Order: sequence, then structure tokens, then C-alpha cells
Amino acid sequence: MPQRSDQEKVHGRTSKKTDFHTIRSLVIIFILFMMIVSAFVFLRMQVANVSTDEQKYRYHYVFVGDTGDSRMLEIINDAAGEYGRKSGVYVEALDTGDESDSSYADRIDMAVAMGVNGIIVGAQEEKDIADAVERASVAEIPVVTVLSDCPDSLRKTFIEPDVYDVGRTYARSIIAVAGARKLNIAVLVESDDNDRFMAGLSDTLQNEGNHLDINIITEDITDMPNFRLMDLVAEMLTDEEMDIDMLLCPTEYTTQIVYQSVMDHDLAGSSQIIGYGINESLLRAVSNGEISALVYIDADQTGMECVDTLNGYIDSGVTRDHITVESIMITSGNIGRYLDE
Amino acid sequence: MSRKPVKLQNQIICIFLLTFASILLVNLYIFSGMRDLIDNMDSAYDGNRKLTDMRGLLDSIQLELDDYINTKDESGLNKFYKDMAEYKIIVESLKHEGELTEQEMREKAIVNLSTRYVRSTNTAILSKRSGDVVRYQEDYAISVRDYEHLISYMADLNTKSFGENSGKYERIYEVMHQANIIYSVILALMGIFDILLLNLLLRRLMRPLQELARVANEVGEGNLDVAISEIHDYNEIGIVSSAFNNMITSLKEYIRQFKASVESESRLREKSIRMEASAKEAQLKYLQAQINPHFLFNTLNAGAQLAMLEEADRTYSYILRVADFFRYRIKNSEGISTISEELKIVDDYIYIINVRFAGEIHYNADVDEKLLQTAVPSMILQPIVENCIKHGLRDVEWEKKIDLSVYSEGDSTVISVRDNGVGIPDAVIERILNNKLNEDDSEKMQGGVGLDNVITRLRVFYDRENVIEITSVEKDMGTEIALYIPR
Repeated sequence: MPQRSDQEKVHGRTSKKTDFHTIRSLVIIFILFMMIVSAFVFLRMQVANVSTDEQKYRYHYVFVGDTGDSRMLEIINDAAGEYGRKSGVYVEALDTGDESDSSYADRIDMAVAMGVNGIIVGAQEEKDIADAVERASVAEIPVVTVLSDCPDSLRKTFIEPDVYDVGRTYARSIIAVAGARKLNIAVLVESDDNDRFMAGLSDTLQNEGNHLDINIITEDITDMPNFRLMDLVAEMLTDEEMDIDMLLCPTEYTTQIVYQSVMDHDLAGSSQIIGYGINESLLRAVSNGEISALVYIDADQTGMECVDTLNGYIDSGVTRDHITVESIMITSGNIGRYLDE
Repeated sequence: MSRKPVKLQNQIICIFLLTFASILLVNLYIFSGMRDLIDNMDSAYDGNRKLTDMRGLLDSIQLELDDYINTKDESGLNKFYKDMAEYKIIVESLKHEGELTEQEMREKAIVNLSTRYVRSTNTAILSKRSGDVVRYQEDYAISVRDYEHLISYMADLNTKSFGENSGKYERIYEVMHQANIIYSVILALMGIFDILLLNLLLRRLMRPLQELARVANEVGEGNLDVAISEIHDYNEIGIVSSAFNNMITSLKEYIRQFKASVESESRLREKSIRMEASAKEAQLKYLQAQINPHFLFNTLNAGAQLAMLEEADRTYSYILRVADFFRYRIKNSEGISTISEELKIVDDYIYIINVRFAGEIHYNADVDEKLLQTAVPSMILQPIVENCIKHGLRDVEWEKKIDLSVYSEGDSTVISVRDNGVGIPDAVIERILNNKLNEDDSEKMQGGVGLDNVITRLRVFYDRENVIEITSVEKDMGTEIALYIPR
């Protein structure tokens, strides 16, 4: 009997060893199987990613604008396209830049001929646009304008930055970048609608920047030639009596001229500059510390409003004549996002 | 409930097919995936090719229209209509309805632009035919504008598509490069997977065979207390294992029965031997008992005659010798004596005989003193000497002699009793040695029974046949009986 018992023990050990080996093999086989399946799934996903975007769209809108030259329009177009993609709308840009011989009106007419569902016209004040918009309207294609309006036309909505809010954003930029409590700030103004801008600026400085002692000087640069503006900027920044600590430029064009003047006269760092717009050179200037901050229309909101306005009009037949969007501030703290874009 | 047995061959084929099928499936899948990628690469620029073709056709149509408008040459118009028909077919293939993809949206736009262009060209041609110069110039200008819109959009789209398709092509190329690596890895993993699967299945298949071999080895070494614990009766191995277990059980039963049979036979044989020994012992005692009364009767007669004749010392001596003789018999009731004692009884016997026959027996003993204490069965010499006197010397006319000698020869002690009597015929010697003396021989020899008794006892005692040798050369030349006592 003891011999039998020993044999049973040996057999039991062998059996356990065999079971362990089997379980181990099964685990490895299962892991290998999962690895193979995962590799296939991964590859299938990779293949699917390169396939044509199969997303379906309800509407086809075109964005008529100089997206090749205007970074702002390009970003608004991209924002509209991105938002449209999420809401079932395909937004296609019909560029009117240097590479295209077409005018805005031609592009609008072309969009009408394409049979699109809506047209977004960005920043253009050509006189003949109104006729093209009228032809679109006859073809029952709604048109919205962005940044620049086409008055006396049949466009459905004009989407623009809220000037008062722009003033507020400038004020907040001043508060954010202020290097001293007592500041002399010069504002270059060139349009008639300065009251609301200044009101937004003053109100916010009084409310949120009451810890600062700010003296605001305004300089009207309406219809001022470029060379004159550049000289003026140089004079202001070197005038010891004025002692300008900060220079505000309310338009992208003005900002570009001012920045050029500062660089030409080697005045970078003598005063802080807060500008408007987001073209590549201005963004680089912010990145390099030559411009303290940029104020910019909220492109995401603008693109979204364009799509939503057209969708609303197509679906309900009504829309607002005028829509304002907020502004945002770009400083060295958040410049990375816009440079990447 | 046992399953229906499946042939081992079929199981091995199934395992092979399983691994083969898995590899085949993976390869097919890989092939299909690579083919999709290649198709994707091939079709990456399909849109651009189509647009380029359309553009070429469109340019031809516009040229033909220009020609007609400028020259009003009807022959060129046929080519215009032919190209226009071909263009319409292409445009027709681009029509889409409902919710559309990005590409379909663009194609729909091209369809709409083309439709307008076709309409404006037809209008321009009709105006030209009507001869209204102002109108056909206006209509022609519209067709040119529509043409420019169309080619502008197509060019724009072509550029945009080319950029997208280039990106797509690069992505496909990258994915294809990745796919090459991943498919290699998958094939390697699949190989390992199949090897492990094969190993697992074959191990499972071979385990009963290994168990069978192990148990068979143990059985071969003589251990029958083993059995195959797990029997999978789904193939031949299971069947063999089951049969092997049955064989072990049968073998154990057979061995048990064989052992029982051997033990029983052994007991029977032992019993038989004991019975035989008892019979021989009884026979021996019977034979010894047969001798005594016969001799005692004659001795007492002789003693009585002596006592009657002399009534003196010789009688006394005679009776004393008789008394010694019987004392020896009583003393040696256990059946074992020494040569010395045997010689003493022979002396007594010769004395008694010589008293009876007036000393006519001349007895001479030549003994090796070293052999006197050799153990021998009792009463083996006296019957031989008696046999010499009774049968060899009784009727002879010459001097009667008996010579007894004890000596060593090889491994034996030899006791030789020689007489100079009439001798014994060879046939009788043969029968004496074979214990086949019949009643007549016994009656004739009158003492043959005693010699036969001695031979039997010696053979039983020493458990060997060649304990005695009887030599009788010829009639009247005497007889020698030699006993060979093993040392």
C-alpha cells in the first residue's frame, strides 16, 4: 500500500504539473490571440482613418472671403467649417485672394450657380456685392456678412464684433499687462464709432482697473497716410512730455503700421502696444514681447454664429439683422494656441 | 456517457486543418487588407483625373461654341453637341440627392454649375441662330461667365482635392508601411500561436499515450498495482488504455489463481510426501518387526539346545549374547546406529550361529578404526550376514568363510561383506537391487526379504539409489555385498 500511495503522489504531481502547463499555454494562446486581434483592429482603424470622410451633410454653405490673405478670415472660416461639421453643414471656402481672378460678386454669383444653401461673405465693402447678394436672394439663398457689412443689400444678417465689448477687452488687456500704476495711454482712433469703444474702455478701466492711475490721450488718424502715421507714432513714442506708456491700436491695419514704425525706429520696448487682429507677424510680435497684447474677435463664436444664423434662416425663415460677437485677448500667456493654429 | 470514438488519424488531421485554416484566414485577411490599401492608393487621385477629363471636354465645348458664335459654322456644331452629350453623361454620373458627403456636395455643385452652363450655351446658340446680335452677345457673355465659374470652381476644387488627395496618399503610404510591419508581426505571432496551439492539442492527444507507456513500464517492472487513471475513450489510445487496464486486471486475477493453484498443489504434494514417508516408516518398522520374531525364535531354540546339552558357562555366555542382541534392538528402536554397534551385533550373531552350527562359520572382520563411529541405519549388517549364511553358505561342502571389511572409498564409507558360498544369479541380483523379489524368490531365498528390507531402508535413509552393490562372479565363487555409506 505505501508503494501505491507514492505512485499516486507522483501521478498527482505529474497531473498538477500537466494542468499548470495547460493553463499557462492557454493563457499565452489567449494573449497572443488578443494581440493578433488588436493588431488587426489597430490596422483597420488606421485604414479607416485614411478613407474618405464619409460624414453626411444637410447643407452646403460657401465662405466667400480673402481667406488666403486674411488670417482672421481664415480662422473664422475654419471655425465655421469645424462647427458646421458637427452640425451637419459643409462649409466650403471660395477664395477671393490674389490667386483668384474672381471678385466677391463673382464668387457670390458662382455660389448661386452652384446651388449652395447659404453664403457667408467675409470682410468686403465692394459696391457691386449688393447686386450679387440680391441675385442670391432671388435664388432664395441666404447671405450673411461677417466683419464688414454690405448695407442696403438683401443680406440676412451682419455679424460683427461688439465695439463696446472690444473696448472692454482693450481695458482688460491694459490691466493685464500694466507695468506701473500710473499710466499714460494713447489711443489711435480712425472711425466715427469711437464713442462706444471708448465707453467700453473707460467703463471697464473704472470698474476693474480702479487701482490704476490712467491718463488716456486720443489721436485721430482717420484718412492719415501710412508714412504720416508711422512718423506720428515715432514722435509720440519719443516725446518725453507725452511720456506714452501704452499705445492702443483699434484696427488690424493700424496695428500693423504701428508695429512697423516701432521696428523701423527701433522703439521696441519703449512703450507697450496693444493692437488688434491676429496675422502672423503680429502674433510673432506678441511672442517676441514687441507687442504686449492683441485684441481679436472670437473666431470660434463668429464661425458658429455664421452657421447657426444660416441654419436658423433656412429652418425657420427668420433671423436677426445684426449679431455681435465677443472679443478675446491674446497675450504671451496664450499665444501658443494661436501660433499653432 | 462516452462519446463516439474518433480515429486518432482524424484527430491529427483536424489539428493540422485547424492550424492550417487559422494561418490561411490570417493570410487572406492580410491579403484583403493590402488589396484595400492598394485600391485606396490607386483611387486616391481618381477625383483629380475625373476633373481633368471634364475640364478637357469643357474646354473643347467652349472652343466649339466660340467657333460657332464667331463663324456660325454649323459643321462645328455637331462636334459641340457630341461633346456636350458626352459631358452631360459625365455630369449625370455626379448627381446626388439627400444628405451628402463632402465629395458629393462638391459634385452636386459641379452638376448645378454645369446645368447652368449647358443652359446658357444652348441659349447663346439659339440667340445666334435668331440673328439678334445684342441678345446673342449678352447670352454668349453669360455662357462665358458660367464657363468661367465652372472652370474656376473645378480648378479650385482640383487644387483643393489634389492637396487633400496628396495628404491622403501620404497617409495611405504611411499606413501601408505600418501595415507591412504589423502584418509581419501578426504572421510571427500567428506562427507562435499555431505552434503553441499545436503543442497544446498534441500534448492533450499524447498524454493518454504517455500515461499508457508509464503504466506499461511499471507493469513491465513487475508492479501490477497500477492502472491508467484517466481514460479518454474518444480515440484508439483510449480503447487501448481501457484494454490495458482490463489486461492488468485479468493478469492479476490469473496470477492470483495461479498462486492459489500452486499453493494447493504444494500442500497436496507435501501431504503426499508425508504420507509416503509415513508409509515407508511404517513399512520399515514393519520389516524390522518382521525380522525380530523370526530370529528370536531360532535363537531361543539354539539357546534351549545349548542349555539342554551343557547347562554351564557357555550357555550362560550364549544367553548373554542373545540378551545383548535383543538389548541392541531395543536400544536402537530410533533406527539409527553406528558401524561399531552394527559390528558388535554381527559378532553376536556369528557367535550365536557358530553355537548353533558348531563353529563352522569362519568370520573375519577388517575394519578401519576411524570409521567406527559413522552413523548408519540400525540392523543393516546382521541381515546381510544372515543372508550369507542362509543362502550362500548353508549347503556348501567347503570351509565356510565370511569376510567383513570397513574402509573409505572416495566420499563414501564402504562396508563390504564377502562369503565364499554358492553365489547369487545375476537375475536374482537384479531383482534384489530393484526391490522386485516375488513371493517365490522370498520363499526360496529365506532371507531375501531381509536383504530387500536393508536395501529399502538404506535408500530411504540416504535418499539415493546407489547405496549397495552385489557382486557374484559365478556359481560357487561366493558373493560380495558392499554398502556405500555417504559421509
